[in-house]
Amino acid sequence: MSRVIVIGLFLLSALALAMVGWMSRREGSKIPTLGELSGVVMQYEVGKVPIGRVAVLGFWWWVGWHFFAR
Amino acid sequence: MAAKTARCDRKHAMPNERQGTIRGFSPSQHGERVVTIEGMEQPPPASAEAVGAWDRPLVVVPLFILIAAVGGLFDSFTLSANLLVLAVGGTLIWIGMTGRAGRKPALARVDRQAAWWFVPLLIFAFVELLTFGQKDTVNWPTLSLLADPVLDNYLARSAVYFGWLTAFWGLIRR
Repeated sequence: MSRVIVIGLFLLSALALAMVGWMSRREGSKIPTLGELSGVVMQYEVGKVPIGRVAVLGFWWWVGWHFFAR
Repeated sequence: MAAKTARCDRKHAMPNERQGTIRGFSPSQHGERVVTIEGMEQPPPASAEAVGAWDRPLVVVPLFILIAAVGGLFDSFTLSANLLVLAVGGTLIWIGMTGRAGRKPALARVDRQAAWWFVPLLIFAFVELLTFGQKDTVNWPTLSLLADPVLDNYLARSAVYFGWLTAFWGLIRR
């Protein structure tokens, strides 16, 4: 039973992701797209170190490694 | 690029200009050539509009399809799978960090409405943390455990691999 609930909650988060993505692409929407939001996060720097860029790209690299290689 | 190739005769060099000088004969035997590299500002990363010949969908998409088709062949926990992900990911990180791919102009700031993105994130984080802390992985599976049987299928694995690469490309252009 809990397995079904867990799968349902994962599907709910995917649905919410799709919904917010759709809302962000509507005409005149003030919600940034996920790409625009990533761009803002990746601009974050500490001194001259592009922490935001390293974090986002590094995280996505890890996601690939986690699902395809680990 | 222009900064690295700019050359002029010594007699035309400005006295106060910071210069890196390469002494020797020019091809035309007319004297020394002065190269100014560090005295000139480095160009910013290329914009998305100023793309190179290789940096466009016609080149990148077939390449990603090829990589995904190969990547789909390798099972998890194999040396081949690890090497491919590390090599491809490392290359994309390098391209992304050095700004070799064109970048789209970023927003200076985002509206408070951006907080909507926390809704799917928090739901996902809640479920993932909840399941990660359980010993019973059958009744409390994490997303990885749910994805494993799906990714055992070659076509699904290749398709997800392609999605990962495409999203990676989208990120490095930001």
